[in-house]
Amino acid sequence: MNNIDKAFFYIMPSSIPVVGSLLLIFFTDIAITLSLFIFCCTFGLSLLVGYLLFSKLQLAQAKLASSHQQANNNFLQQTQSYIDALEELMGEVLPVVSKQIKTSKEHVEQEVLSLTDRFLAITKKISLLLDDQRKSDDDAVIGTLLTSTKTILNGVINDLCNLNSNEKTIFQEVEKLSSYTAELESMANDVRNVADNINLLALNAAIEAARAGEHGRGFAVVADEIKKLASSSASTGSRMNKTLDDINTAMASTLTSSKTTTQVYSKTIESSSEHIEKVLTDIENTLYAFKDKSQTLADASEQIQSEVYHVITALQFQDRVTQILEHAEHNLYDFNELLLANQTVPKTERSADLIQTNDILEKMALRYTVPEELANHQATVAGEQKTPGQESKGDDLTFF
Amino acid sequence: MAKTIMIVDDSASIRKVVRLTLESQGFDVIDAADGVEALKKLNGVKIHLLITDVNMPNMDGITLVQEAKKLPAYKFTPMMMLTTEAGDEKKMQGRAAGAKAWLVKPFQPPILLNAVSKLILP
Repeated sequence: MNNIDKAFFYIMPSSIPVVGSLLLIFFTDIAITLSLFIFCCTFGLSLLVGYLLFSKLQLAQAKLASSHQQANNNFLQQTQSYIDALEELMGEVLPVVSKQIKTSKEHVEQEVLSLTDRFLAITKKISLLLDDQRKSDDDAVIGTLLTSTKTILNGVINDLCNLNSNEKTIFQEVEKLSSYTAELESMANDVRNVADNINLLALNAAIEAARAGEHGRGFAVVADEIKKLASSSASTGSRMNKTLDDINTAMASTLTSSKTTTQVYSKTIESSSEHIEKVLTDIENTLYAFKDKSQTLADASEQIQSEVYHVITALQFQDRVTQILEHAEHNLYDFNELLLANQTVPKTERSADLIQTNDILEKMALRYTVPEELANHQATVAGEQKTPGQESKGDDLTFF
Repeated sequence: MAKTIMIVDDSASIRKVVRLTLESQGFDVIDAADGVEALKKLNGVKIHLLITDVNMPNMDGITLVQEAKKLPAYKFTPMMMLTTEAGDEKKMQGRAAGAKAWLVKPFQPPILLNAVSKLILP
């Protein structure tokens, strides 16, 4: 309380008796001595009252100040203990979080590496399989195989047909022979007829010779010989007929047998041809089915290639995640170091200047190498609640 | 004869996927985990293209390009950056160091192969 206030406390109460006394002096008939006495008394009394009032006020003010001081001290103590607790919490929590981030980073790295290795192994195997397939499903190979198989099998059928054709020729020759035997038979019959006629002639000659008597004896001998010849000719004709019968029987049997053989041959060749045709068709169908499968496989291989490329792109997430985690880990480490360094400063000398938030944030931002990191940082610093969209689309190719 | 490409990246999985992509197209691949290892391997061996990450321990990609360009055997070897960094400032640093192209990860294999085919000298 300043001096003016103090004077105010004295003047204000004393001003009333002073004014009163002055009014008594100037406007009443009371003796000046009495007036002065009253003035002195009231003035003194007023001063006493002012003093008492002022003392009481001072006492009240001192009490209030003391209670304020107490409250301030309590507040400071609480704030200090809160800061100490906060520092302790940070000191405990930051290294733990750093360690967790480091472990996550190592896990991601290890697992993605193992995943990549397995993926590479699978890709190599698929690639080998597709290469083998490509080698075996060549159109030319199928064509050559079919043509050579057809040629060989058609050769077999041709051989069989030739055999059958030979057999038919023999059959025709035999048939022709049988027509000659009919002629021969007719000739044999002619021989027999001639022999009969000669025999009749010999008989007549013998009769005529007998009539001639002694003169015809010689002629009778000739007639007898002619008869013998006729008999012999007739016998030859009969033998010829018999032999021809035998030949005919043999030829008929040969013809029947030959006909049967030819028929069997024809049927066999026909059946063989059908079988061979079927086998060739089956082979062809199988090969073309195989070729279709190869085409399907070739189409699939293109899809596989595209999938492989997608996986290669996706696998690179580990690189970005590792970088982001590494920067978070380093930033937490730096923050912890700052807290530890500040703890070495005596408490009485610590001030807000020890924590330069903007500098710390700028230093954090300098570390970023992935666009999302910077976007997250800027959005958070700007007070935006939502996480920005994925920035790292990649594939930004620039030629210098 | 197959062309040889060197890939430098501290991430083993990136080295593997780049190797797979390039080998599938018949390239020979040499890899290194950082700039220092890469320079050790660049001992005169003929390479037709160098692909490098930017941020790596021991020696970063931009320094690697600068150092490799100082070696007579690799002065004219095309070099390309493959990184998550997409900032223009970094790209300018790469260009100044002597890189011929800048591809931002994650890459799609056909785009990497397209860049490779354009950079490799016949």
